[in-house]
Amino acid sequence: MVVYQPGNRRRTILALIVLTAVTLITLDVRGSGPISGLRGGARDVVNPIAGAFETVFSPVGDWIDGVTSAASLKDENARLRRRLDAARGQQAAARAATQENKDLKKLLDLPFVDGADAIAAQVVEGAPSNFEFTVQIGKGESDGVGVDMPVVTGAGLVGRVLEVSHDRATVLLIKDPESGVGVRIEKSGTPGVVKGRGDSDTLRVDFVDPNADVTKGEVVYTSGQQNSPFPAAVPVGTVSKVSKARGDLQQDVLVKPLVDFSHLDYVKVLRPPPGR
Amino acid sequence: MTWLPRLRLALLILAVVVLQTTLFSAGLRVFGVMPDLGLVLTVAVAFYLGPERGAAFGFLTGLAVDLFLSTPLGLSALSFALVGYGVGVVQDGLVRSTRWVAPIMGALGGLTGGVLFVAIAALAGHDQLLALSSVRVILIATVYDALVAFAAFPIARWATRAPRRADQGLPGASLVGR
Repeated sequence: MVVYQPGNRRRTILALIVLTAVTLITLDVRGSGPISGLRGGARDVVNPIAGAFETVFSPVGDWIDGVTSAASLKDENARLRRRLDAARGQQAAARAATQENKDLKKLLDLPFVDGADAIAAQVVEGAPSNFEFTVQIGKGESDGVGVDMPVVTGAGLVGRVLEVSHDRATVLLIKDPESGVGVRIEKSGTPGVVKGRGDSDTLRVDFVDPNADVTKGEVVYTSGQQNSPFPAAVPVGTVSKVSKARGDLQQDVLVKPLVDFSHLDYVKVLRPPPGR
Repeated sequence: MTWLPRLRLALLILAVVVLQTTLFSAGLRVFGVMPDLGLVLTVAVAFYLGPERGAAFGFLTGLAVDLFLSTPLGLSALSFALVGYGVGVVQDGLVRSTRWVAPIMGALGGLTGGVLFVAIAALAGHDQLLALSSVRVILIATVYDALVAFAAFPIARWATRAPRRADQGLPGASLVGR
């Protein structure tokens, strides 16, 4: 006679749970269509509740945030005022350079981001996990947002659309380790791939020719190569560190992003040009 | 279990998802890290209901959280379920005469759950999480989880309607007869 022990039942339940979870993980990793539909549906159900909750409780979060960051906000305010004064001085010189740039680009027929069809969106939520670097924007499928569309601000590249539901979209930031962006370095035109480094405040550029002349302060732009979701000439960041060891197959280049990811309020989602 | 505790637990799962995607993702972060609400509640529920129900609650809570993440569906579900099962098995042998059992369990559960999440994610192909930055995130989240556990345990006791352990000094327990 088989005696049914409580331990058997426990192990059976645990085994069933583990098997179900592993099956779901495998299906999702292989790109099962129903699972992304499930995610979109879940967001559409929860978003109204989350929106109402946020409306009621966001002043609490803002108050706590203000209390804990009052000192740093004062310092940042002073620093930004100094930068604003410097930027005003550079503005006049930049106007002439911009006009010359526009004329040259017309001659070269390069894609020009300013003319792109874009959807403005507000950033409504941060990442719901400590291990991913995403934001939620308040525009979705119903507004014309699609997967893999690039996302930018006035400063530069933010990332690309990862998932879309009816009225929200998840944007994968370029600082996420899963993100990779084809780029060129300003003066030499050297190609590379910018990879995120998580919560570090710099990005890494891989596959930089060890013989290329890369200097600190150079701007890094998207290369806009074929099949890339990112159009060309979108600023990504500035080179902050270059190091090269003898015999290395590539240079170690770090880039400081132009976008301030800790203060992301409004972004633009770029629609692909017709025929792309 | 009757339908009322099941309804309360279902509402708890919904509350975890809403809080995790709003209040904690937008603010209330410590050094950029938020607590694992679902994991701490799983520890608390497993503490009161034992390993089977703890694992089941962890699985369902993790699955709900996974729907809002870009990591594979089932990742949080598996790590929460394993932590819930472990806490449920261990809870019988615990000395409960201290009010610190909640934060200690919350911290240990958070630490174990964080490590499991990163390890399983690496096995599923997300090996970018195997980095020193993940160690920092897990350690800070562990401390935050211990603080959140002070609130999570009384909430889990209410939801599961476990008998009050008045002589065991758990947070929120009344000291009847003293």
